[in-house]
Amino acid sequence: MAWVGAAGIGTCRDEVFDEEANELQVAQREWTNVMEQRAKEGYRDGVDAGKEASLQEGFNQGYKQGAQLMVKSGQLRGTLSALLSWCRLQETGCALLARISSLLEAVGRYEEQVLRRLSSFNQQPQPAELLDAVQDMDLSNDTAQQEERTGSEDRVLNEQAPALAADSVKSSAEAALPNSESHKMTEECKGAEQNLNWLIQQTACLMEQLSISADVVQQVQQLEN
Amino acid sequence: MAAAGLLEEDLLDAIVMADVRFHGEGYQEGFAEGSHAGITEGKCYGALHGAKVGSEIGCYYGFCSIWKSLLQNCADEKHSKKLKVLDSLLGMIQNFPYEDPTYAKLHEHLDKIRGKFKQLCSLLSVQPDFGFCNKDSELAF
Repeated sequence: MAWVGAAGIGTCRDEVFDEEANELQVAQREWTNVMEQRAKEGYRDGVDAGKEASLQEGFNQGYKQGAQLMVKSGQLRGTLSALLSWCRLQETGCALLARISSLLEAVGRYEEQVLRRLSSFNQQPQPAELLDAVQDMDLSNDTAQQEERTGSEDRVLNEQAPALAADSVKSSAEAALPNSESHKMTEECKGAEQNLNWLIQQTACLMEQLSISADVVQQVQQLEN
Repeated sequence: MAAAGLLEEDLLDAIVMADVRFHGEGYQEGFAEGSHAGITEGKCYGALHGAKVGSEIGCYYGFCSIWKSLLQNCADEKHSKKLKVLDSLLGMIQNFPYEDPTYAKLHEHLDKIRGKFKQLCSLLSVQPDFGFCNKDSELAF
């Protein structure tokens, strides 16, 4: 607020006595202080008013974004849930039931992960949080772990995504990726999208095994980007 | 005398105006800052709410459309009632503007869909498992 300081300057040219000058200086300082105070008050009022005026708008924007982001994975979850209940009624073999269940859990994990990312979207990500998120994803890809991230991040992510989903379906042992904090938001999104596509493909594949008619399978495949 | 009085008035005005001006300039700076913070904060809350509704509605839609296709492929007469309920629920879901936070009947409409879904499940005699890892999941409905 440089303009506050500038306000008092140039008002005391008539310096006849030192005493007067001192008085003027004191008065000037006081004036500056009062004005600074006023500006601060104004700033605080402004922050409150600005926030109040924009919160709803921000909420609306975010809401739309969040809804669009999750409707597809929700649909896949509903699809798998329908398949599971159908197969239970048809008394399908245990192996297939277990596979549907694990895919369903993987979709659940994917959604949790997206939700966590949404809630921290506008905050500075903490390395510990990201590490937690990666651990929750149940990935244990040795090659990805050993790979140095000196080259293209995208390439690493591309290789990782299918393995990541595969591992989370198998719910294998947990392992953390050491350099996870270096992921950028967009790259993470790309990886997650591939993850969802992979889950869709797996679901479609499973439906074919269950000899479910082609038009139903196609309906699921359409979810893919 | 009149001129001096005017000058005094001007001076007083200037003092009062300075007060207003400083407050105003601070206010503007704060308003810009606050607007930015409000958008960010609002987006965060909104995204979470939207995500939950989007996921839930998507889930019902996926569930119903798959069951509809499965039953239709059965070509069994006794499924006609189930198909009727499925169709009515699918219609409710498709008419639900899940992306629109300003939709006044959002909760009312969503509750109706939930009720209809329960009805459908008992008709199909299934207890849907939506694969929530833990019961406390924010997405669980």
